[in-house]
This record gives sequence, C-alpha cells and structure tokens, in this order.
Amino acid sequence: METNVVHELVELFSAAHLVSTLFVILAAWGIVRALRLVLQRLARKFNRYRLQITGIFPVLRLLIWTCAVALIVFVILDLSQNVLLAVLASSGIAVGLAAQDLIRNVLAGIGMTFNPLFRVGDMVQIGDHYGEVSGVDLIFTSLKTFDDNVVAIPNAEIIKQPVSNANRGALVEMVVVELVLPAGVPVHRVKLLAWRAAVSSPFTYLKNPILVLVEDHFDHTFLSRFKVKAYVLDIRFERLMASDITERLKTLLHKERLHTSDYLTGPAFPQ
Amino acid sequence: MKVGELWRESLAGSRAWWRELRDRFRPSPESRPGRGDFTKAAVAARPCLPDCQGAYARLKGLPDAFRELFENRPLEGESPLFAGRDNALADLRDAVSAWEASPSGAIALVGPDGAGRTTLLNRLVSGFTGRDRVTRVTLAHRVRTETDLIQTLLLSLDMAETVSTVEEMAPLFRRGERRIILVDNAQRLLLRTPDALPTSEAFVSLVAATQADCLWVVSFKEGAWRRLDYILGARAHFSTVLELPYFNREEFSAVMEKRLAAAAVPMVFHAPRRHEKKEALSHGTDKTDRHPAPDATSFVEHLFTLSGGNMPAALYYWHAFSVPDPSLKEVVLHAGEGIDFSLLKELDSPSRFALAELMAHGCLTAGEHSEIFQQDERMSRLQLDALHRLRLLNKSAPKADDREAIYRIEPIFCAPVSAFLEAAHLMY
Repeated sequence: METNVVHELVELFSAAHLVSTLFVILAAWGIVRALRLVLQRLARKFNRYRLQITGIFPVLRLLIWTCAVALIVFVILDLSQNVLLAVLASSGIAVGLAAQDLIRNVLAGIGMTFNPLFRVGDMVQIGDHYGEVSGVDLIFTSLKTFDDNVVAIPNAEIIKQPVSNANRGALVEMVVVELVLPAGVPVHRVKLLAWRAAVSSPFTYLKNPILVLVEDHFDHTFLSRFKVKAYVLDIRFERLMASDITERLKTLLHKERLHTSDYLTGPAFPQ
Repeated sequence: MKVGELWRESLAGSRAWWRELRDRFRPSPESRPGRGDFTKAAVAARPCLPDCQGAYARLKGLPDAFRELFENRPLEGESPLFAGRDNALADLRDAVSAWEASPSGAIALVGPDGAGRTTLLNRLVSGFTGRDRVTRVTLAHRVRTETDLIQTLLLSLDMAETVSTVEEMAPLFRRGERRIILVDNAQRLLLRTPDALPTSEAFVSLVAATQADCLWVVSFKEGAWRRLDYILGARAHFSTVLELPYFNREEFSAVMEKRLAAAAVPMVFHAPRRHEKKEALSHGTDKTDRHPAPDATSFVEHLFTLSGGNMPAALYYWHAFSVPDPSLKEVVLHAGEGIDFSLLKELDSPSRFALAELMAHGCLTAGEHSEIFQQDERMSRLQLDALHRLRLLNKSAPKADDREAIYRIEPIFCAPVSAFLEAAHLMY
C-alpha cells in the first residue's frame, strides 16, 4: 500500500499534470484579472453603484480560486483518498509550522469575505489608519489614505481590533466639521451661518438633514464648540467638503466680524 | 507543397495580426515626446459635440413662416401649434379653479429645460378673462438679494410702497381683490452661496405668508426645485406641484404632426440606415442612404427615439437631418444617427461639478461659478470656456448693461447630461 502511495505521489509531478495544473492556474488568474477589469469599468460607468459593484469582487474571486483548486485536485491530479490524506497530513504539518501567519491571514480573509466588516470603497478606521478600502485580498486589506499612501494591513490584525466604518456600503457619509469660537459669540447667528456654509458647499448631499450642534468647552478660557454635521455626496470628497465648509464659515464669520478679539476679552456669556 | 504554403500563409497572417494588435495598444506618438518616432504633426483633434447653431443655419434660404415652425422657442398663448400638453393644461386650470374656491393655494410648475413650462404658462394666461387680476413676473436675471426680490415684485405688481423685508411686504397683498401671480424662471432666485441663500428663503416665506390673498403659480427648473425642496422643504408650502416631464411618445407625435401639417413647403422623408456611422451627424454631412420611408410617421418615431421627447433636441435633429432642395421647393429629410455623448466620460471632476451646478441653476456667470466653488474668477472662466468649446454650453454675449457672459447647458444636451450626472451621483 505504501508503495502505491509513493508511486502515485511520484506520478503527481508528471509533465502532463504539471502543464495542466499550470494551465488551470493561469486560466483562473486570467479570469480573475478580467473580472476585476470588467467590474472596475462597470464601477466607473455606474458611479452611483460603485460600492456594490466592487463589493462582490472578493466573493467571486474566492469562488473562482476554489473552483480552480477543486479542478486541479479532483479532476487533473485525481488523487485517491490515501494520497490525498497523505499529502494533506504532511503538507499540513510543514505549512502549519512554516507559514502560521500566512494561514491565519488567509483564514481571516476567507472569514471576512463571507462576513464582511467593510466593502471595497468604504471609508474605515483600522487602528491608526483611516482611508478608503482599495482592496480586500485573502492576506491583506489595502487602505488608500488621504495622503495618497496605500497601507496594507494583514487580515488577521483586522479581526483582532475594532473597525470603524463611516459609510457601510453607502456612497454618502456624514462629515463632522468642528469650529471652536469664544464663548461670547452670538450662538444663534453662528449656527445660522454654519448651516448656510454647509448648504452652499457643492460637495454637500442636500437630501439628508444638516445639523449644527453647540457645546461648551474650556481651554484656558470659556469657548463654544460648533459641530456641523452634514453628508458628503461621495465619500471620496470627504476631506474636500470639510475644508470647503470650514473655509466658507470662516469667511462668513470674518465678514460679520464675529472672529474679532472682542469676544475673547468680553464676558464669557452674553448678559 | 500545399502544407508548406498553408504554413507560410498562416505565418504571414499571424504576423499581420500581431502588428495590428501591437499598433492598437501602442501609445500614440504625441504621448511619447523625445522619442525618435515622435512627430509634431500628430496632434490629436479635440473632440466636441456638433454645432447646434450651424444646424439651425441650414434652412436659411427657406421662407420664414416655414422656419418658424421648427424653431426652438416658447409658443405664444394662442399659437395653433400648441399640442401634447392638454392634460397638463387641464391640471393647471383645475388647480387655479380649486384656488378660487379654497382659502389658499400655491402651484409649482416643475420641469427640465425644454419641457415647455413657459409655453404652458403662456397658454394659461391666454385663457384668463379680463376680470382676473393676473400679474406675470418673468425673472430675466439672477435675483441675488432680498432687496432685489422685493424691487422686482413691487415693479411687476405696480406697488409704489417702500418696504425692506418680505414680512413688511406681505400685508400689501391683502389690499383689493385676490390676484394671480405667475412667476417664470424661479430658478433664478436660488444661487448656492451663503450670501444669496436668504433670497430663496425670503421668496418661500412670501409665498407661504400671502397664499391666502393671491395664487402663486411658479415655474421652476427641475434641479432648482429639488434643491429648494431639500433645503427649505418648499413642497410643504405649495398646494399643487405639477411635474412637467419631457413629452411621451403620443404627445411628441401630436406636436410634430401639427408642425408638419402646418408646413407649406413639401417634405420628403428617408428612412435611417442602421449601420451608418455616427460621424455623419457630427460633421453635418449627408452620408445616410436614401431608401424612402413609407411616411412621416416613422421619421417622427425616429426623432422621438433620438431625443427622448426633449423638444429642443428633436428640433435640432430635424434641422440636422434636413437638406433643402437647391430650388427651395422642397426639403429632404434623411434620418441619421444620434449624437455621440461619450466625451462626457472624459470630463474631469471640476467640469462635472460645474455641469451639476449649471443643471441646478439654469445658467451661471463666471463670477457666480467662482462664488460657488470659492475659486478665482479667472479659473472659473477658463473652466466654463473649456466646456463651451466642447459645445456643451452656450455662452451669451454680454449685453451693454451686463459685465459678464452667461453660460448655460445647451437645451439639446440637457437630458443626456442630466442622466450622466445622476449616474455619477452628482445630481440626485
């Protein structure tokens, strides 16, 4: 029996098997590449459904590779049960020892494919990194930060820590813009100006409500912190919108002379 | 011998195929300056949409009465060409009748550019009797401040009082009989800048405060209305919102049939050839074949397919497809292909945002664009001029009292631009 297993193992490396296996791997790789290109084109064409289109890619890729592996093992190599067990046992020990981290990441990647915390295109905070998910592979997840850097985070690390998802598959997301002013400023007027600044930004998604919240704050002196909460029409413009609203609000405050030092030296609360 | 020949032929064929494939994916020469094969002569032509004014000029020699039938402009109130909007007119008249019996009301007439809002208002006005107190306010330019709004309304309503806010103005409407006020182009009240937003707030406040004393019939461009509704909840202050989309198939046929029936010059129609290249239209050339169509119906059907019921677009195609006989005794119409809008995909982000704002505002000057996008006016002018060169925008020459040129999207292109911006989630 042992001789048969050894004989079958030797046959596994025959030229025909190697060429067929290589062909299947190349075909699977080609299909995945083509699928990626097609989905990217579709996502560009239908920007409104970009996140949904790109979100199905990891699942389809996993399916294609699973089919490819099944085809190689059960059709091309056509391993008998004994050989399969022998290969799995020996390679399991070797791979388990040599590539623990890799396997952990792959398993985490498979888990994330079927139970996604985020999709490609979402804006997420993982650890210290905040950015748009640009790719979810079996081993790494890539984030594109606002500095145009790509950060690759191992999947095993992601499932170990809290993940904050700003939009969860939607194209719009809430953006919070904060502005701290002296406590003496006329709150009602500043709230109105903040609302107008948010409404007039071309990046603001007007269909959702815009809120302006006020809270007291102390930092060497009494201050008022204004929070403008508005939705951006596409997550990619998040920073542009925050900057735009801040700029507009500052211009308005300056125009109405609400930025002057009078409010710093005056009473902390209006009489 | 035969096998050898076959082998050589296959080899030559595969070489040719490989060369063709390589050339297809090779970067264009102008993208590789400094290389030996770089040629200065290989300058890529700037793609642009067809020239609309050029198409209209094709029928210059024909009688004015004939040309006016196919001109893109609102119809007068009593025009016999009015068709396709009978239901909308009936709805509008019903809403006016309902107001006469009810304590209050305001009507918003909402539709895209070229849907016929002004024509419908003209028709409505023509139906009023002499005892109706009707005032028509057409906003010909941007109303930027509350003071501007008050001045415009006071002037149109023949009120001599001096007021500084709409709250002070509201009581003036209580004097005398109830009146009907029609406001056309109300999108000019909404400019998306912090300074100009109070104007639209003031207008909606005035409508809300005075609708017991007068009936407001206000026509809005679709994008502007949606914005006003999102920002101020305008829908809550209008008792009737009458949506006026582009013509449907039956309405469109009725409109075109009326125009064709009124034409004094004989027309000969030719059916479209399916495999004709799109360049035929963009170059204004006459490359379509000449299989005669059974009648004008299929030609009108073809116009509807191309224009989607957008009347300015349909009239443009009508002009582009027509070839007047040299003796000017008849007009031959060759149904051609539609316009290729693929260049929209090549637009950069600032251009897309500019188009979205133009769609919502109706028209913009470079100064208004610079205020909306908080950038230098010169940059705004450059951006708008670039879109104008693509022929997406038309640019009105500045009049004597205006300092700035006004840019607006060609009404012909409104529907595809709107669809493109909605797909890009810049319009919603």
